[in-house]
Amino acid sequence: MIPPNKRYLYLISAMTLLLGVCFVVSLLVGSVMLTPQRLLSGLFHEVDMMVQLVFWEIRLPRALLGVCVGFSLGLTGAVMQGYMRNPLADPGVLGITSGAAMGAVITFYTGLANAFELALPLGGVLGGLLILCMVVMMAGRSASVQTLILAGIAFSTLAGAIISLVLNFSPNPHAVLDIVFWLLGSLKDRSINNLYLALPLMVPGWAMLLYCSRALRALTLGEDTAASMGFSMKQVRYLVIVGSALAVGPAIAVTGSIGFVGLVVPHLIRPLVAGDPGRLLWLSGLAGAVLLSVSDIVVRLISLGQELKLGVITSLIGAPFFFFLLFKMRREVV
Amino acid sequence: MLLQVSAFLIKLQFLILCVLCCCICSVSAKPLRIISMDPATDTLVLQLADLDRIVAVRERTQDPEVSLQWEKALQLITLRNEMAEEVYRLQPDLVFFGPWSNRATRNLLKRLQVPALRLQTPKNWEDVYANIADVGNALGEEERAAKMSASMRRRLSAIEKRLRGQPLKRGLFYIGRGHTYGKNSKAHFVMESAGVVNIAAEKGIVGLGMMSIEEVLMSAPDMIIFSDYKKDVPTLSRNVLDHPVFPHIANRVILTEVPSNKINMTDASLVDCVELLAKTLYPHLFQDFPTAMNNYDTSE
Repeated sequence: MIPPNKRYLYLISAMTLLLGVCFVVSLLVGSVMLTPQRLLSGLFHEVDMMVQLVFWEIRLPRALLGVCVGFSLGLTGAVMQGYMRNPLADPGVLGITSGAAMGAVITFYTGLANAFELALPLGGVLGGLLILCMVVMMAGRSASVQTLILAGIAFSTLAGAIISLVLNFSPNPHAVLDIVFWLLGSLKDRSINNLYLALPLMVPGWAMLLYCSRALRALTLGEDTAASMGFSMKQVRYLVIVGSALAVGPAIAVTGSIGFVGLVVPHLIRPLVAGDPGRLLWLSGLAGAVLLSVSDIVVRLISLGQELKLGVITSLIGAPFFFFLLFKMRREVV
Repeated sequence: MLLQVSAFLIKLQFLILCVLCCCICSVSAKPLRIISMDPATDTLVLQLADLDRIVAVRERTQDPEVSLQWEKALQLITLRNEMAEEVYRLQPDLVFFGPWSNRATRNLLKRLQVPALRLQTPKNWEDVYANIADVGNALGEEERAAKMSASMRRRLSAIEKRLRGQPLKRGLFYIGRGHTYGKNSKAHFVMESAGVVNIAAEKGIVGLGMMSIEEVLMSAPDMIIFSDYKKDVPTLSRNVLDHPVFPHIANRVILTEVPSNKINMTDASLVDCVELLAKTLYPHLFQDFPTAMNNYDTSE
């Protein structure tokens, strides 16, 4: 029997290794087939400028964004499920994703994003924060699954309607089509600038969420017990809400809404850590990054004339999993 | 008896004369309450018909970025939507529809027996000439239409002569969301006439298709053509065109903008685009031609 600490380290190492493999494959796969030899030789020869551009300006930012956004979604999902002690809590179901998309779209279409560069990710953070605060206020922290989901759906719908309204008011009639982009999310044709914008806000968000690991472990014994163990529930709530908004908001602002990663990943990882919500965080983050990177590779490999949206793949994985969870819950109730 | 026969013949002659007069009148009667429902048809109609015969055009036609005839459009009633009731209350005697017009409106106006003509998206120059001729015939302005087409043919033939024997360069149209135009599109035959081999068509794209930035870079284009439509209005779709790779390749690839109020039309503006493209790509051959196109703004 491997001791839990050692097992945890093995798991972290294995997941990191897997993520490394996905990252390398993501660099090798693209809409144009470039052999590893050509990619490598192109990187070190000035003559093959286009290969250099493809690598540094297109594939590398895309792979890095996939890792960062996936990590954000996986980590936030694990924290939300741990904090709310609710298996259906995730950034998408609770409306953070829609709120972030709403904030980003408002910032973008009002021209604020052109006024100063951080406006776009900040819009995402504020939108996500606003919706999450409203959901928590409406449903309450120890709300039932139904109340929480209902509040999340209501605010997601509201955020979706506001997105459509803002896009309808755009002076460019083609902007309405952008709704599809936001609803399905994509990493296609992103640049390193997107990463520079999102990362400075995402990193403090990750730090805040990871800091909660011990408190989340204590919370499994109930709020009163956790408080008696010296954890300030007010501080934990603040860290979870602001941390989630900081982690997910900028991610969604640059990629659009990517659903289900935060819901599915913690469920897949939980059995590996024997249900420990503290240990779940790092692993969920890494697994989220793996899932999103793999989905992005699949999106590029499936050729249908035009690239599939990333949200399509994550939803194809996530929706059946959601049904599985529902059936499982129904069985438990019976 | 003779008197009766001659009276009958006179009556018959009068009747025939009346019928003939009616026929002539109805043939020569030009529509006087014209409505056009698409910026491209609006622009063509505004060039071929006198303004006092046109009742309404689309609201977007008043935008200089959409139509070169925007000043004329400002003097007319404009239609924001394509609703049949909006059109019918203006009692038109001829309605022009564009290729992407609302089917329900078309069907309703047809049931109300409002004469209508729907133009198709041109796939080649012959389609453009056919559109111009159709609109000219419907308006009763055949001569103006024929003049427009003849002038276009003349200008295109002059460009073709200068390009003859020249090694052709390669390029593509690149618009929002990474879309591009392949075969059977306006952009394709405009590029072809300007001596540009369309990379999108080479890749087998027909009509509107998609190419990622990666594919665009690796296809080694000599020229990338963007649209200047609403370029200052932030849209997510335009974000693709603001990707930092484009400034990097600006010294190797010609990045240029085509005026949207010309390339989206179905009239002589398309030949303007051909001239502008040809002059931008082969400046030594077309020094005496009008000003070249705007360079795409590569400032970040």
